[in-house]
Amino acid sequence: MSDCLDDSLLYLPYGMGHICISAVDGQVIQKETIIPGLEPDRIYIDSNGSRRQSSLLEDGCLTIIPTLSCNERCIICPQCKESSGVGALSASIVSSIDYSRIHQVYITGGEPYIAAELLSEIVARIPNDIEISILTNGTLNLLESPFLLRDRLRFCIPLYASISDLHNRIVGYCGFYKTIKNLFHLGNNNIVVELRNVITKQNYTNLPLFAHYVCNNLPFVANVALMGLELIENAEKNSSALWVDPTDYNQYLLEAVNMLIDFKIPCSLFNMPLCTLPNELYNLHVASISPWKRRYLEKCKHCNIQNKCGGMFFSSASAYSHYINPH
Amino acid sequence: MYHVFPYKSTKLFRNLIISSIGEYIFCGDSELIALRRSEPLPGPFYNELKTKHFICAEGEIGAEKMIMGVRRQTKQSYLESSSILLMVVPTIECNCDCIYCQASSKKAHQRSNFMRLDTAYEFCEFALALPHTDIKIEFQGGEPTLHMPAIQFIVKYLEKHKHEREKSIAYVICTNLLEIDLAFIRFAAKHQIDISTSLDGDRELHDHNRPSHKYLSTYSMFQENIAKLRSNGIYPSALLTITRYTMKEIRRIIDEYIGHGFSSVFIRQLNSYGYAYNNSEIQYSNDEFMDCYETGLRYILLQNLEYGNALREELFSILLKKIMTPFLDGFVDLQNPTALARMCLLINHDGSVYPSDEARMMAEMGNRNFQLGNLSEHCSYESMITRSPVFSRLHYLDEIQECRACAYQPYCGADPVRSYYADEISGDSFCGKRKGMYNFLFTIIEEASKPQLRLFRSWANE
Repeated sequence: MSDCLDDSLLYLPYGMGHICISAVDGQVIQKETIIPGLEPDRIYIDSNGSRRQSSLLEDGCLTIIPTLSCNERCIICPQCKESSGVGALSASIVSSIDYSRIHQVYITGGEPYIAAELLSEIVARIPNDIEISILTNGTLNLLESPFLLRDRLRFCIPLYASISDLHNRIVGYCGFYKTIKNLFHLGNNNIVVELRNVITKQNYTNLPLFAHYVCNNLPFVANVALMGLELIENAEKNSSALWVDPTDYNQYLLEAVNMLIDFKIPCSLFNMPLCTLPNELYNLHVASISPWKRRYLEKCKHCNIQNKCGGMFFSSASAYSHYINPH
Repeated sequence: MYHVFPYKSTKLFRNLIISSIGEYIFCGDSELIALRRSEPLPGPFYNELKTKHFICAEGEIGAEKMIMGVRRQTKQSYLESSSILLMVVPTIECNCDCIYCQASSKKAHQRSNFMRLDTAYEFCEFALALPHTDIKIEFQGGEPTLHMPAIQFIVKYLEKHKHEREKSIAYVICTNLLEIDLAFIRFAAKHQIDISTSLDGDRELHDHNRPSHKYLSTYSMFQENIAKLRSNGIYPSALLTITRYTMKEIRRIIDEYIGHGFSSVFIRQLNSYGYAYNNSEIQYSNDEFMDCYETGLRYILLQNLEYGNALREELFSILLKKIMTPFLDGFVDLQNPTALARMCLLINHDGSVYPSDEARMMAEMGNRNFQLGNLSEHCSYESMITRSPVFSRLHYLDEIQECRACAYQPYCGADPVRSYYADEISGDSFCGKRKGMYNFLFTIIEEASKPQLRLFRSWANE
């Protein structure tokens, strides 16, 4: 999800082969063609002559990044640094895509609402039968455009704490109440919302209060995703302030999850090695780390439940849990 | 420093502070003193206060007020007239002679004890003309099954016309199950009518509390007929009325509920209306009831957590929903401003309309102060509910002296009928068992083990 789009050429799956377009303005450079070495269902980025596979298309899910600009400065941001700015992606690229292989589109950033007009245009060009998830920090005006009220949209919004002080410190911006206000708007309009929280040394003791806050103020959310940390980019720079061994936050996590379950709010756990979780949470674990980012330790080889385990980020492996314990 | 929103405190084992939107925190003396003096607070206490909207930074007051406004609106959504409970009395006659009957039901057979079908028709038109969209109709009595023609007329008429009038309607029949036959069961199943019944204990206790001039053992009939209903896919809920005779046997009664496979029980305190008024053989004090209730509830917890018997107490669940969740609990008796007439009405067999069951009971005892009108006058809901001068008083707890300083006010309810009855007739305090009930509730929450707390939260979200 972190590819920078100021690269020059994109190879998008099209028909039996690919179409080559400019990443900057979406102009078609080469019409449908079969290029040796390119797998048909993958997107490739050609930057300064070196061609690599992009994570933008995986298992029928396409990721679109309208802009890499962001109004928040999260200490846990896994994104590469900002690109040239608004409008880095042209909406016409979105029209060039062959959607027959795609069932789900993720729109992320940066903060996609910084490029609100472009975002509208992109959403309008995606065929109606495809579900769209928008990953936004929820601080900008989400409901300005009426198109956003359409049924197929799902909003994924991060909330890192139950109190403004802590959330704002993590996102490097006074965003807490703006996000809450927008969550209320989405709830009022019956729009599907997934809350996302990333567990770090900063906020793990806040998890039970976070659950209380969600159950009492945001009970309409469709799902709460609690996520382990990926230590790259900003997060890597701040790793000493962020990294906490999953075994150390287990009890807080369990308390939070139990409360959400008691309130009938669905909840899922991402990016956590299975064996670091309390047994009763195994069924909420999602093997979420993309195969190309995933690794296991040497001792995991003989684990009986490795096929169910999402593993660890290779980028974070320098700081994996001390309690990895193969079953 | 930080801004503090209004809250009230009370003392159980520790201090309990409760905010105006009903969030609560247990805390120690030094923490409470620091909060009162706006001094720096220990980190965990600060975090909890802020999470639960007790405090915020000066610049955040507006945003917090918006959030608390939404919370308050959710709790008071009954003011938007979306759902209403209509209690309907098809007949005041009964085939049972419960020793605690509160409804002054009649044994002598008389035509005037039954709702006429033209009244039933007027009722249907009245219901369809209400501003509410979700209507629940509860047939009670007397024994409503003694007048099936009225029930059948009402259900069939409303089912036919509800779509064009854009109403969603659900039905409950409150019955002692003495005279349930196959035709009744088919009718109930066809229209998805819920059945609510009474079970006061095992054979000895139930037959003592609920004798009948027509049946040797009402317990035998209960056993026989509940089996018939269940084998037809109808699972009644049950109400347990405690009398002086049965209160010492609460554990035995709960065993009976578990034995019958009920998933819930409503432990009901006698009120002092109808035949129960001043009957010292069955009556008891609020404290005595609370002792019984507490024993019963602790026994239910034990059964759930130690023996795996999933039995839920209904009143406790309602109160838990009130204090532990942001949702409207729907309990008519405990809303502020009062939910009477907004969330419920009682329509008697003669077409007279009351804001609550208690108002009807008072009328049966001779005091018609709270009668809002009669269906035969064909006046609108809006004009009816503003008609009784005594009913227009005491809609807010703040109007009641003893409630003003009470920490439990955010969870409690105003009730003009009960406050009138307490002031003018019985001489009891309006509060009654309420404060004792909240004290018990918070004590048991404060002491709760993690499994107990989880059970409470699941009951609250039932």
